[in-house]
Amino acid sequence: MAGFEDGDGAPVDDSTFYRRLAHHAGLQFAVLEPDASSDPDFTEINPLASRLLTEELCRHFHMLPIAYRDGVVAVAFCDPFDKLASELATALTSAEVQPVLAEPGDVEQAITRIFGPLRTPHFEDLGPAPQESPRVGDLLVANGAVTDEQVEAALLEQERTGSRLGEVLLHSGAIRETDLIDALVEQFQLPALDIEGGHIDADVVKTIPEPVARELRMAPVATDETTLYIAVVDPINTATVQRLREFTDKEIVGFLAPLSQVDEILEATYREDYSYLATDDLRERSPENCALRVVTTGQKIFLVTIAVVTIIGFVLASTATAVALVGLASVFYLAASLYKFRLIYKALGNPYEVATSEAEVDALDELTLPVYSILVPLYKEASVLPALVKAIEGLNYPKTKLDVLLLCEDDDDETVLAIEAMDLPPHFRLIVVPDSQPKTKPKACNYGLMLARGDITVIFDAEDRPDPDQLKKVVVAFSKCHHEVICVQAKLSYYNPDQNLLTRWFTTEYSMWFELLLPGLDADGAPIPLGGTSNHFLTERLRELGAWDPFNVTEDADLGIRLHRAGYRTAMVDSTTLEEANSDVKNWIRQRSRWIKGYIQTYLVHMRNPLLLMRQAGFAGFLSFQLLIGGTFIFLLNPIFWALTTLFFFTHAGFIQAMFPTFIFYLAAFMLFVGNFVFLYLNVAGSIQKGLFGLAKYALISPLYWGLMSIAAWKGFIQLVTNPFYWEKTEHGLHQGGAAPAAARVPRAEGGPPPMSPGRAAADPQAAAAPERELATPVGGR
Amino acid sequence: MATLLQPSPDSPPADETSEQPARAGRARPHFEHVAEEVRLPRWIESLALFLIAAGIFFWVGYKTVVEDGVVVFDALDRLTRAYMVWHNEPPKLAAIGFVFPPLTTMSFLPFTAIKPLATSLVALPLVSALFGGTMVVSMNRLFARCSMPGLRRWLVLALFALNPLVVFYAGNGMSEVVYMALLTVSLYCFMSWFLTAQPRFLVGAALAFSLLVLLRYSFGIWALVIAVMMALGLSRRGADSDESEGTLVAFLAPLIYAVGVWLLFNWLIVGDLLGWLSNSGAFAVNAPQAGAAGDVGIVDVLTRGGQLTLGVFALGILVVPALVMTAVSKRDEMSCWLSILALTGLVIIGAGALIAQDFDVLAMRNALPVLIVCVAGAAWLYQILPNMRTIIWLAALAGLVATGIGSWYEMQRYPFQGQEQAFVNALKSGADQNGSNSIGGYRVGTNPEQRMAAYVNANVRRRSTILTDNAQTFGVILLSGRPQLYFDRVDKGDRTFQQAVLRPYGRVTHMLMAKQASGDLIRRRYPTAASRVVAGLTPVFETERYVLLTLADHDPRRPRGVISTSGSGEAGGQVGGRATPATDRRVSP
Repeated sequence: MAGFEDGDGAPVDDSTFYRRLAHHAGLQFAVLEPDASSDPDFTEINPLASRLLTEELCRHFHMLPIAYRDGVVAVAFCDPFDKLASELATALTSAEVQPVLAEPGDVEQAITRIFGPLRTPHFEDLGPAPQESPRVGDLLVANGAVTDEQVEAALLEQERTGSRLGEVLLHSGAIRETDLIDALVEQFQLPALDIEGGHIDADVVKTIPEPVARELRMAPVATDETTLYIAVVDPINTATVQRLREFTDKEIVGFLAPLSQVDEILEATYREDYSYLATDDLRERSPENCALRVVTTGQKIFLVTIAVVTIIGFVLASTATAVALVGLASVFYLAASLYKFRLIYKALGNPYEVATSEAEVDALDELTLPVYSILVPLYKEASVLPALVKAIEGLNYPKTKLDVLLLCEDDDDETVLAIEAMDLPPHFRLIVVPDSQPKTKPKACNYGLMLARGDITVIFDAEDRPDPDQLKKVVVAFSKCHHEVICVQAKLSYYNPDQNLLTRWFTTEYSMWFELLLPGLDADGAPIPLGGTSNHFLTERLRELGAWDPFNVTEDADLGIRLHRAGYRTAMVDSTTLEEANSDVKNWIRQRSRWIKGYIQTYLVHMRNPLLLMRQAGFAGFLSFQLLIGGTFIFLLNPIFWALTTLFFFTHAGFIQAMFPTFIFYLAAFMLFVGNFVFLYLNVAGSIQKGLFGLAKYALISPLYWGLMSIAAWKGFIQLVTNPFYWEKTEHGLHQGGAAPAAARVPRAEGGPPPMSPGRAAADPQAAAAPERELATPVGGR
Repeated sequence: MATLLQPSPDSPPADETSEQPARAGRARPHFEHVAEEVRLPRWIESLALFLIAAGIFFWVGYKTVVEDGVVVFDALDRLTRAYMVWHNEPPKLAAIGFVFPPLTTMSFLPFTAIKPLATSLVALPLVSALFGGTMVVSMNRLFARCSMPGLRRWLVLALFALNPLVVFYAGNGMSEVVYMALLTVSLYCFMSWFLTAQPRFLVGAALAFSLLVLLRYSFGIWALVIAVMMALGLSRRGADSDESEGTLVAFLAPLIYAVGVWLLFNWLIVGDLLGWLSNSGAFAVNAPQAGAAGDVGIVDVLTRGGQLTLGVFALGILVVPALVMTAVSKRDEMSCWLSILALTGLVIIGAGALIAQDFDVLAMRNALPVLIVCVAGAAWLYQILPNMRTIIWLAALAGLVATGIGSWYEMQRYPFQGQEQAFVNALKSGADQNGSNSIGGYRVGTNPEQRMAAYVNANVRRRSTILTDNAQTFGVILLSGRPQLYFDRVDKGDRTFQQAVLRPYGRVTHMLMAKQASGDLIRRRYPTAASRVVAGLTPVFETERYVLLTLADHDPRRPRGVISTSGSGEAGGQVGGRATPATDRRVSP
């Protein structure tokens, strides 16, 4: 080697020479060799920045861009006085160039590392990794990232699930994403993407349409006149290049990047678009299905007409009008009650859920299992995260085929930080939903749905404890169902039924609703108002439908009706998700008032064009909708009739007697003495059906519960008029006697749609109380 | 993936006739050793059986009741009450009555809404036939549940359904066929629950028993016996306390509710919470000499019990001992339960007669529940003893043939009955039985009622002008078709009615009373009125059973000025239908 000498003629090594030269020239000295990372002058090369100049230029002028920050490109030169090189760099990068001095050998090696030993690796020519190239497992073992045993275990799972070895290790938590990327870089001899601190131009990212980018798992990150630089999860092959040719003619250069990084780039780019679509997609695509308008002009005219006619009727013939109203109400009562009884009794005798045996679940070939997206909307629920993660990790489903989206709100730093601190495996994704109105659970779910990768998508609430086999049972169920079935609803029940009387009633109601009534609807082919969680959708069909209405406070029920109107069907599966039953009366009334308000919203939305509804849902479906969703109004009527009965009992008031002529009186008496008992007894039957024998005796006093329902109904009804989109918060975690922390309460937004209702909490016993945003929606009972 | 999410377009539905396994119970399955698949009858079979059975029952019922006049007056009373629920003025739900179990009357309600169905008495065989058809269909399902194949069960079914006593009660409008149907349903549900542990069967059995209690109060005892047996059975099978409690709650809740509502009604309307327990005696208007109260001894009970056994459920002679032996040898719960139920039925009859000192309790019809249990017991033996099925089937056929013959014979000679003899006579001769006598002091037919009704319709126009005790004169009220003419106990309650009976003058223009029925409240107040020895009361028309009286304008025993009745002045000028006694009075043949 040609040595340098110091001022005393003593020989100095290259490093010392160039350090001194840099000092003399007033430049920063940079060590580029990664092995010398401990050197104080070590500078890590930003691969994106390094691509700002072509390989030929870099090799020719012995220079390499190493960083790009605030519009200034740091370029490592070997010759600080090479003005041509400096000017070229300035001209070609269109940026201010900050020269940095580095050893020539260092620069050469860095260029080789960046561009390859001989030529730039153009991926069009790149086939699969050469046979002699080391395998990922070997590389990971060699790198010390995993043990042989871990690789062996991963290979077995790979054989079972068909997933890639690296992904298996990654999802099992054996390695980190960086370990895998390092190994892949080594295996494929490809550069890795490093955008730490760098800026990615959104216009560049949008070079490839978002759906294509998601499908191909890639994101454009930079471009120049000739080349498009793309972050890729998998090495690009010829087919991919051909696909991309539709969008760009430039040379395509790929950088390996972890999937999470690709997702981040896409999400950062399309964040506002996603947010807009999450809020407005349904409203724009089919405004007639959106609850943004509580009542349409036509409905207003109709309601006002009814009101005027009634008032005139009372003025001209008060008794006759009262009799007519009581008669109509009584007939409606009877019809709704008989219908529910029929559904429930049928379901008592027949398990209408799609049968999924243990053997069928075991027989599923995991190679063919679809990717499953799990949407978990969260708000101020950091405390429940460990239990949530545990519940999801407990699901019997290949982790490599899970796509768990933890949907947090922009202003919920607490939960976001907690998720980040958990260092979750890569099948968990933290999605921060941008702050916008309405701040509701359906909007968050819509946002998550756009990012979902799964063929099937399910919603779980934060405190849910799904049956471990639920996902596989649903896969089996879908495989058995008619192709019209695009949603499978699992059953919901509570894990704290014995906490107090309210939770016992609540549990019996849920048992009746999910064990009997919904399966009965299923068997009838009637529209099923979905429960708030554990509804599993075929993702693409859900997207086609416009997903959830962010303005409906029971968007689940609404979606159930909407999918039925679109010609699709919902099936029930015999798998249960456990939730927390509301144990506080005030809290319960808030929750129930929201549900009932949402049902009325749903009724009004779908009754905007009754004839169309009848045509789409069929006469039986239309009737079912009237009696079940419209049956919500019964909760409003109940207190009136109870008051009349009580008043008559004590006063024998003549005007009440006049309101109940013979036929109506018999009808009312039948409902009072037979109908009420039948419904009460069906709650008993639901408990027995569910195996909750201990609750049977409490179901016998459920008429008191109906009283609470009516209070909630009136609260919800009044709120529908005064504040239609307000999301009544429900606190969770009360089964441990906790209370919601004040910080978790979200103040109502002024002058606009309500804030996103706070999320649920406390799946685990240690969890603190937190508000709720869940939407399980049985408006059952009577 | 694609195959998993692209299912076959039309996956076949589950076979509705095959049974799914139980899901709810935590106790051991009741019947693990039964491996064979149960094929329940398809709906078409059930429909066909229903139509055939109901058709036969209706035809026989129509012939004997409507054409030949073999009308059981208890049924006529319930029909009249159901008629008054709709057509009284004002219509009154209270017309159902609070002495007898109300469900029979309620079962008539849908049919009495149409006037001619009731006034022609067609509703009597019609309602019975419908319940009879239900009974046959339920029994068919019960046989199928016990693995009896089609042809075999149809033969057994035919012999059971064509038993003359069954045919009589499946066509005469009495409550018997209603409870036979419900008891069959409840036994079917009970057995099904025992075999499958499906909660729906428990619910079905419970609802059926709650209705049974509203048909015959003594079924409350049956329900309690079953509840005890259930508790023991669950405990034996390892159910925890929650399951036992929940199951019992589910079984007993409807029963307790039904009784509770009945108590409430009695308290609110009659003012006597438990009055229905002490006032359950029947008034046989067409059998004034009946009333078999007397000195009932153990010997009587045993003697009549033997007669009932031969005459109503001879099959039980084979079945009950076989059930007991099976219960012991195979430690089979259901065999034990059924034998206990059969014995409970017998004990209720015997003990009831002894306690009430009333031979009427030993009536043939009261043994019909035991017949149902015995038939169900035979089916169960068929199920539990698979190696002896042919023998059991043949024995069941033989037992049912013997039962049929025994019934036919006893219906013509057994002393405590409700016109069974008249029914047999009608069948044998095909002749009108109106005016004939039947064992038990019955005068068969409704001619007296029809004649009185015709007279009333021809001569009375004004509403609420005939004071009458509808508990005795129901036949006239119904056959006249115009309950609005009568001022009865239903209209404004017993208290107002009693006041009217005490001071009828000026309030009504007529009084209609049963001539010989001791229960008639008007007759009790004016026992000699029919003989024209009461001043101010003049008989204007009478038949064999009834007498219609006109009233003076005011009470002749009091000076006119004393009468304070506001309507007295008006009553003095009775018009519109009031006939002068001298010309209108007729003497019934």
